Amino acid sequence: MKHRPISFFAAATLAVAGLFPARSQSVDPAAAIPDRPEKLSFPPLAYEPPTPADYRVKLKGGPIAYVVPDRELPLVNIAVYVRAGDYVEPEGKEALSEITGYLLTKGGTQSKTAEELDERLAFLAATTLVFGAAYTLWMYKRVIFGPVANEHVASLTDLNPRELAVLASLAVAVLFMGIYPLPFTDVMHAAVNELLRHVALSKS
Amino acid sequence: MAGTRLLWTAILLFSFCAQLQAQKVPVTEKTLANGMRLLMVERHDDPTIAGGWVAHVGSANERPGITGIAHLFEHMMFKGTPTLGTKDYKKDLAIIDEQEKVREEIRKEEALMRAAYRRGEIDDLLKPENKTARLKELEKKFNDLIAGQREILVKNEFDRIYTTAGASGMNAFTTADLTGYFITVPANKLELWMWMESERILRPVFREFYAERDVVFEERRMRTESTPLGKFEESFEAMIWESHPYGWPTVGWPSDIPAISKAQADEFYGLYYAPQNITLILVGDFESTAAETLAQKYFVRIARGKAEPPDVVTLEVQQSAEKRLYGEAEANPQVDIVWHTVPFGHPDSYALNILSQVLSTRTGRLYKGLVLGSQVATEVSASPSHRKWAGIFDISGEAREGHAPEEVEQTIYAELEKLKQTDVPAEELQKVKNNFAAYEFRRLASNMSILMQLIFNDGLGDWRQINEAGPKHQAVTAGDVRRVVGKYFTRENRNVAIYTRKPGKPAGGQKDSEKEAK
Repeated sequence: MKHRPISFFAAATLAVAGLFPARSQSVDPAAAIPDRPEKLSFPPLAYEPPTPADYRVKLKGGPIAYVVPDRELPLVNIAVYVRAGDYVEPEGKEALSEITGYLLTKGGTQSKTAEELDERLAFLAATTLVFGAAYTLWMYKRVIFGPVANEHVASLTDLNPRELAVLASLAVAVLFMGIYPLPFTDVMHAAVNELLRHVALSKS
Repeated sequence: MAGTRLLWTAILLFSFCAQLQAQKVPVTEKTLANGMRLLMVERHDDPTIAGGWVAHVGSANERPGITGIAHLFEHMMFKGTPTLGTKDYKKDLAIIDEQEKVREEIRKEEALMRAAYRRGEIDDLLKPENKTARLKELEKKFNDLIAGQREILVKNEFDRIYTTAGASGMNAFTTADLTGYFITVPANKLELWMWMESERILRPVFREFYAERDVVFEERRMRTESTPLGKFEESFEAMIWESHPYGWPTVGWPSDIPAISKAQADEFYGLYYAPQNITLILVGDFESTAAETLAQKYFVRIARGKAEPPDVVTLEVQQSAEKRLYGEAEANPQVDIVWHTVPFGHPDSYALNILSQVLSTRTGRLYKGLVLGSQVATEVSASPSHRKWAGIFDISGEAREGHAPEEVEQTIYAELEKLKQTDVPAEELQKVKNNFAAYEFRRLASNMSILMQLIFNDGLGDWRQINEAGPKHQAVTAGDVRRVVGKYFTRENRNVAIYTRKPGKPAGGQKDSEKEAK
């Protein structure tokens, strides 16, 4: 069995604490309250977005990681982006990428059945506490870098330069989403809030 | 093996430490001169502020005849003020007055129509073809006034001012217990938030009142009347609550929504949107002292309400027998079981929360027992709901093909019986508690998440629960879980809804439509 390192990008969730000092709000309690909000004046907003290069690390095996320390909470958020998806599915094998993703997270490992894995992850309150994070990394190591058990998988060939070029451009977009997700999450706000409202109204 | 055991011990120890240091949310509470409360949490991570407020009013504060009014208010609060939402306030007011006069005539005509309905002369009050000539004439007059108002209307100005200033996610929601309003603003726009929110509480203008009432009715059609189980769930809820106001839907009964008058709305607003019934909440990048000064300046303008909002005094009567509902629905066969439990903050509510997690999730007893084990169900869920005035516990399951919902129901009882007979093993209980402990941290990830928790905790009774609930969940013992299962999960205390497909119809939805097409 040969090892098949699949190159992947990792982008840690950026919650950069302490980079932005509190701005003092100028308050004049004596000033009259205007009749229109346009007549209010505001202090400037100082915001310096973080520089991705400061957090970029090249791992020994090749993958690029973005590691951002944030000591506000004892939580570690890990996001791993793999250069694979619906767009590389061969004809006649649609949904292959989704099934693969499902099995990676819910299908168990070589030493654990799906139920055992679920149980262990649940006990560790997975992906949240430090132990959960360590376990997740260990699991990824086994699943992604472990020996290939299936001969069909073993016969797969690596990407050719053309495919690599296509995927690289997508990877850049993915990385951007990881580093600065606001433009994407903002779009969802309205829908999520509506859902929240819906749930609150219909269920409570 | 020994190594594994050591690891488990380490993990157990770690989870024990985690609960000891569980992060508290540092809330500063202030009460303004008019009785309005202000909760503040400073977080200087990103330059934004999540701002919101909760009015301690929901559909439980309504009465028959005006059901749905609390939710209608939530819509009306976005309509503007004397200076926002109109180009000509004087003309706007004159038109609103005119509209009310016509509406008064319409109400008289509608009363006559209801009398005709009782005599059997009209089959459905909501059918357009049953409108009398007089009603049609009045409605035309009213619509002309609306057209006049539209000319001076500045549509969605409230929203536009916020978004132009870089604010996002403005919204609101209504439950049976509370009404919450929220938005995220850039850190330097705190004063804008103060201006906008204080203005709309101080002098809201309920323009487009009747048009918005129709919007709310449409919402009812969409959520209740055109969903497969909507009408049944409404009946089920009305069956569960015999005496308590939780029995009527938050969106309102179909007869009440179109009958709510602006005068009733004004009265409701005066009573329940008084400063002493509202809590302001700020979470994010600001300084508490400066924010408090601003809040004093903007919100103390609102005079304290003369009357204190009344308490809901009706208690749910003790259920004396099991109640069952059989519905034939265009949905997969399923069962929904609801037991009466306890309200928010009751000592038993923590054990019931722990119980719900022992039962639900992919590693919970219901999934393992009913979906993976006996395979009678495809989906199961267990959820407690500790509302302000009373609580319930809900377990539901969807039957797998070839199994009846009653079979799912009996299997659920069997799982509960095991919990009555034997304590939950220590490791299983610890797994659930670890998830609660992890949640103690996970919930602090964003300003909006903290704001939402404060809205709910304060709205349901006490914001301090945001910090007190965590240790109380960790303190629940296996004995507590066993005790609450025995106490609340009895036959006399349960309500059961069984849904099956209409007999004679094939299971596939496609075939149905094909038949109808022919």
